Formats: sequence, C-alpha cells, structure tokens
Amino acid sequence: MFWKKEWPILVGLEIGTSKIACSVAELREGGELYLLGIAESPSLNVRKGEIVDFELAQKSVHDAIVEAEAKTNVAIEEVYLAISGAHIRSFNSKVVISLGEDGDRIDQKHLMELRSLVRQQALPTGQILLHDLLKTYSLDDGTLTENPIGLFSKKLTAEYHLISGIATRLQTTVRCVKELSIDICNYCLSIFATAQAVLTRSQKMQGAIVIDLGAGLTDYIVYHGGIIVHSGVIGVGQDHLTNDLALALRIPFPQAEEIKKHFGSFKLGSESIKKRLTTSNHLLPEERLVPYNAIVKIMRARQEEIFEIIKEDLEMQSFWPHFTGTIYLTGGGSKIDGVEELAQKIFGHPVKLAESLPFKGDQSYLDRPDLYTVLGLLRYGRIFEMESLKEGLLGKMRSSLLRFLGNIKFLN
Amino acid sequence: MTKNVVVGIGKAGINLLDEWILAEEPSGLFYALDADFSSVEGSLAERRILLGKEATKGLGTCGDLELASKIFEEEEPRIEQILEECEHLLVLSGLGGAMGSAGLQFFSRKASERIKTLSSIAFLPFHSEAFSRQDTARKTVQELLEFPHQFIFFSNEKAKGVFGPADDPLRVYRNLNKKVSSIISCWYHLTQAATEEAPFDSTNFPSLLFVEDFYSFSLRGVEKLPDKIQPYLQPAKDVGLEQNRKVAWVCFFLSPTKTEEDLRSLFKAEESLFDRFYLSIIRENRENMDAREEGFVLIGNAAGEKFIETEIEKQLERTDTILADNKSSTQPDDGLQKDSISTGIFTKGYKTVHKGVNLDLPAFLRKGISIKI
Ligand SMILES: Nc1nc2c(ncn2[C@@H]2O[C@H](COP(=O)(O)OP(=O)(O)OP(=O)(O)O)[C@@H](O)[C@H]2O)c(=O)[nH]1
Ligand SMILES: Nc1ncnc2c1ncn2[C@@H]1O[C@H](COP(=O)(O)OP(=O)(O)OP(=O)(O)O)[C@@H](O)[C@H]1O
Ligand SMILES: [Mg+2]
Ligand SMILES: [Mg+2]
Repeated sequence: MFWKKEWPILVGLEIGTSKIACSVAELREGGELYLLGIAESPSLNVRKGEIVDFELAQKSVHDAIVEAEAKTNVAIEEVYLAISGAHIRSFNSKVVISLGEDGDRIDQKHLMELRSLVRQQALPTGQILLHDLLKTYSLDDGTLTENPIGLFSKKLTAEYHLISGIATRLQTTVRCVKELSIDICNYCLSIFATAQAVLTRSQKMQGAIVIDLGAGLTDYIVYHGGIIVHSGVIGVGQDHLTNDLALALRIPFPQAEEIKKHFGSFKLGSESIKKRLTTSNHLLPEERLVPYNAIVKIMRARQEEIFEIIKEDLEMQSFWPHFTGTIYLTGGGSKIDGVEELAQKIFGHPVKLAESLPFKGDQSYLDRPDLYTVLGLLRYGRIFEMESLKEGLLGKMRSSLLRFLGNIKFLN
Repeated sequence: MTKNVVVGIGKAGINLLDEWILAEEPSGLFYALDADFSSVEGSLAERRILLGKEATKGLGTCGDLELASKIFEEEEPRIEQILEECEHLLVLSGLGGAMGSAGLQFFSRKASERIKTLSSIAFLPFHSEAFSRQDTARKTVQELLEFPHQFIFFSNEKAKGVFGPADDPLRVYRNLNKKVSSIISCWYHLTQAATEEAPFDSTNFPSLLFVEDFYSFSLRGVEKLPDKIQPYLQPAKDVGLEQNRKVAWVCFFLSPTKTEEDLRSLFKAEESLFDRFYLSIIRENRENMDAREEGFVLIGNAAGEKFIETEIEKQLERTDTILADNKSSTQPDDGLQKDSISTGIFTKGYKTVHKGVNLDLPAFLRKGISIKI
C-alpha cells in the first residue's frame, strides 16, 4: 500500500444518528476537489445526533475511518468534523464601534475589533460559540455593505448570525474522535456544511432554505440575499417516523425501519382502492396485512409536524415576509415519496430535492442525499486550506472551541 | 381475545363495579381486585383476585400507598393476564385509597407499555377524610398526568348534598355509584362497537376530566340544558389544579330512527360554551328491545393538555440544570427519565420537548389521528 502525498488531503467526518460517514478528497491545483471516496459504517447507539454509548460509537467511527483509509489509500490524520444536536441555538446579534467624532476610514483593524466584540458576547451558561457568521456591515448613513474597507463613517455596525451549543455535549463528540489519535482541523455545523455541498452562489443569492431530514435531527439553514440569516436544529427526525410506525404496528424498530424504507410514502392511496400491503416473513414474525394508508398517515402526521415546527420558527423571523427563494430537501428522509409535495403544501414556497454540486473523481455520491453533509465538509475545509495556503500560515487557525476542548482533560 | 375488560380496584372500585353489574347484568369479563378480603369476597364480579395475601393476610393495606404499590409489582404475573387478553381497559377506583391509587397507576403504566387503551373513573376523597388520603389522591393525579389515557374524576365532596345527605357518606356513595354506572355502560358499548373503520381511541375523549356536573337526560328533556349548564362553568380546584379547559361530553343511546344530526342540532347552542365538546353516540343492536333514547352529559375541566405541558417543562428545566451543573456527565440522570409513556427507542437519551409537548410520543396519537390497522 502506498500513501498518496502529492496533493493536500481533506477529510470530512459526520457522526450521524444512523451512520458514520467519512469523505476523502485531494485538494488539487486551483482549489479543485478530487473525491477519492466515501466510507460509511452504521452508528450504534447514537440518538438525535448525540452519542449515547461512547465505546460503541467510537468503534463505529474507527470502522468508518479504517474503511475510508482502505478505500482511498490515505492515512487519515486529521478531519473536518460535522457538529449538530438539539442543544444547538442560533441567533442574530449586532455590534457597533465608534470611529470618533469626525469619523474615520475603515480598515481591517476595525473589522477585527467588531469580530472580537461579538465573540465576547455573553452566552447562556455552559454554551460555547460555534460560528460567528457575518451577515452585513452598516455605516452611519444606513449603507449596507459586505466590504466596508476604505469607506468613511462615524460608526460601524456589524450584524452576525451566531451559532452556539452546550460545551459538555459537544465535548463527547470531539473526544470520540480525538481518542482515536485523529486531529480535528476544524468543525462545522452540519447544516452549514450541507449547504456548501448543494447550493451555488446564485442559489444563495436568490434565496434558499436547506432542510436536512436526518435520522435523529432535522437541521435547516436560510440564505437570503446571499447571506445566512437563520438556522436551526430540531431534535426530531426520521427515526421518529420509524418509532411511530413501530409503536403503532407493535413491531420492533428494525422491522419498522425496513417497512418505512420499502413502502414508506407521504402519498395517500385513493380511499376506494384501499391498497393493502402484504409484508413478507422476514419483515414481520407472521404474515400480516398492513393497510397502506395507515403507514402513510402515521408517517405524514410526523413529517407534517416537523415541517410545521420549522415553519413556525421561520414565521417569527424578520426575513420571512420577504423570502422568495426555494426550499431544498436533503438527508435520508428526502428519499421518501411525496416529501416535496408535503413540504410545498406547508411552506408555500417551491420545494426541490437538493443535488450535490459536482465532484471530480469518485462518483458514488450521486443520488445519496444522506452524504451531502460529509461532501459539504470537504468544501468547507477547502476554504480553510486555501486561506492558510494563501496567507502562508504555519498552523491553521484554530477556533476558540477547539482551544477550549483541547484543554479539557478527559475523564475515563 | 376479549375486547374490553372492566377492573374494579379497592373498595370504591369494587362497589362501583358491583353497582353496574346489578344495573346492567352485562356479560363479559369483570375483575374485582383488592388486598381486603371482605371487599373481594362479596363482589358480584365473576373474577375476584385477592392481592398481597402474604403481606396483609387479607386485611387490606390500611391506606399504605407504598405497600400497595409493592403488592401490584409483586403480583404482576397474576395481573398480567388481564392485560394480555384485552384491547380496551376500564379501571374503576377511589383515589384516596392505597389499593385504588396504586392500582390505577399500575394499570396506566402497563397499558401504555402495551399500547392498549385505558379509560378510568376515579373518585376523589371527601374533604373531611384524613389528610393522608387527600395527599394520596393528589400525588396519584400528578402521576397520572404522564399517561395518554382517559381519566374521569368525580369529587365525592361535590356529590355531597346532591346525591345524598351531607352527613351520610354511604348514601352518597351508593347514589353516585348508581349514576356513574351509566358511564360504564357507555364505555362498554363504545368499545364493544369499535371496528377497524371506527376504532375506539381513548385519546379522542376528554382526558383528565374533573367532573363539575353530571346529568342524565332523555330527548324530551334536552331543551332545558343550557341554563342548567351555565352555573357550573367554574374551575375545579379540588386537587390544586388551576389549568383547565371547559369541556362537555355528551353520551347518548340513540334509536335507529334518529340521525346524529338530530342530536347535534339540539346541542348547537351549547357547543360554543365549551372549549371542547365531545359527542358519543351509541346505537344499540339489541333485538326485540326498545332502543333507549337517553344519555348523560358530563361537564367539567379537562385539566389535561395544558397541565401536562407545564409539568413536562418543569421536568426539562430540572434536567438542564443538572446537566449544566454536572459537566462530566454526558448522560441525563436516569431518575429524571421516569418516562413510562411509550416513546419506544427514545426512552433513553434526551427528550425532545417543544412548547411543552413531548415530541417523542407518537405524533399520530398526540394529534388524535385514527389509524386503522
Ligand atoms: N363514590 C364512592 N367513593 C367511595 C366508595 N367507597 C370508597 N370511596 C372513596 O374512595 C376512596 C378510597 O377508599 P377505598 O376504596 O376504601 O380504598 P382502597 O382502594 O380499598 O385502598 P386501601 O387504602 O388499601 O383500603 C375514599 O376516599 C373514599 O371516600 C364508593 O362506593 N363510592
Ligand atoms: N429510501 C429511504 N426511504 C425512507 N427513509 C430513508 C431512506 N433512506 C434513508 N432513510 C432514512 O433516513 C435516515 C438517515 O438519514 P441520514 O443518513 O441523512 O441521517 P444521519 O446523518 O445519520 O442522522 P443525523 O444527521 O440526524 O444525525 C434514516 O432514518 C433512514 O431511515
Ligand atoms: Mg446527517
Ligand atoms: Mg380498602
């Protein structure tokens, strides 16, 4: 076996509720990503995106990494890690600096000052800042701009979209990776990564909401006029559809999962035909007739509720009345028949199934919306690599979270 | 498999069960359960089970709630078959009593684990009864908030002076029991008549209903209802519950010649008086029998939904502070996850609560969507 060293290697890792996915790519000339491969291993005892059984989860992560190494002939040393969980909170925040009585010409230093101001903001106890995403700068005359450098103003305001999470709960995920002697180059909110995999710049400009229908979590992010204006995570996901089916049909979870994947749909059959399904022996202990519409109703009740919760949240945001974009669905749940229509009905905006932006190299990711998060991590990682190459930094910029988590002594 | 089973627990439950058996002479499976030999022995129920023979020697628990709970846990194998053999369960009991209180909690838990419907009629103690009985009743109600069943509470105190003289509790019991038997009949018919197309689902009925008032009526007497209803639209604070919804539940045995619309039109004016208005219609299929044209109205506060929400919120706050305090703990404290409702794989791990609603509970159940399986 030989290890490729020609190009910088980027690795993305998602510890998802249903599977651990690991993507490997080369960063080639001109910043082009060449996909070497993606490995997966089923998650054991991960619920709602959070590790319940540490040892088991760590074993799955190990398996996925080993498989990725074997598949791509790369020794994995560091990864970009996707992070999510129902404890993640997002909010918008404004900070202002004064540039003196007579005003001043804005330079890089002022922008840094604003950023450090927003980072100092008090978060609820136990929470730690994950991302500070710039929305826009504004000058004292009300001008909004992405780049105020060189402009003249008496004060400068910056608006950020901030994303935070509970440190102790994030720590488990980070520790799970670090204990395998794998470094974390950086982490990224899952849905932020997913958006990088599916949205073009122009889609972001036109307005886009990406909803990731994951097994344990439903994550969403909103681009309005090219910037992120909102995001959210709900601790309800596709596992809930399965669990509802299992409880209603009184069958074990794995069997319900099979039924959901094989027969699941959000489209009611016509009442007069009353289509019934005969499930075969390996799915149910005995052969049983399960009314097709019962399955649809159970699944719909749950998915409708998920969409409604998101919609309620969106309706409370100031951008919503002006939003005219498209909603893109990803994640395993986006494979369910009729999901676009259902979402369309609830949101009243055009809905599409998301597609991954193209990659050179391995093409196995096509039609795998559940892998878009790890693909997005590669694109997210690329931004960091390119910046550090450009600026000739020795070490890559480490975030406050990694510094914080790096200093924690893990208890065994 | 028997469809519906009625279980009377403790003296109050067995008294009520007997009263109904006397009135209706129903056929089917009915159980009398108690640790007190005297009340089990005298019951008219075909199946009588003396519980905790070792622990109390047939003398009863004398109000010891802990002992009663232990008895139910220990006797589980003997009780289990009751649950095994039915789809719908009706539990009758008195909440001041240890057996009645522990028994209702026990069956509530078991029924939700097995996804059987459970309905219950329970009496709340007179104010003059011992403090410990009031306390037992209050605690039990708190426990029951966890379950998605149909609980109907009757206050003995409120029945005083209405169903019998204030100084004669035994007559109050007797008369109240007689009246309440009609609810058992209603439940019995509804569950018996349930089909795949029109299933009986206890979540479609008022839950945690504290009955404020209770009328029997025939079609001829219906017009008088509105002014009768008005004075009773006040909250029941018997068990210290403030939150409430004004609810009416009308249950009516209707002859085949009348349509549901006929009946509904009679209640047009009343419907708007309530936050929720439930109407159950029973069509009896008894040959050579005059169809009854009578029914009852229960009016009260369904403390249910709202109260459950705030309770869960409080519980969540507690979980969060514990988590924040205890940085090394990555798992929620198990003691706080005493979630005995069916949440399947989500019984472990963090709960998802949104606006006070536990989203881990099946969505279709919470939304009352009927599923034909
Ligand atoms: N309405 C009504 N209430 C009753 C009747 N019998 C008892 N009660 C009430 O029910 C409550 C419970 O009392 P019991 O049924 O005697 O208690 P138990 O369930 O046998 O439990 P132990 O404490 O073990 O005896 C008390 O608050 C009584 O006021 C009855 O026949 N009708
Ligand atoms: N063809 C399908 N039809 C229906 N559901 C599917 C299908 N394929 C996958 N799923 C569901 O999608 C879910 C997995 O999606 P995904 O891989 O995006 O989640 P995850 O990343 O593991 O979880 P999360 O991001 O919530 O932590 C599972 O619940 C699975 O049942
Ligand atoms: Mg995912
Ligand atoms: Mg007794």
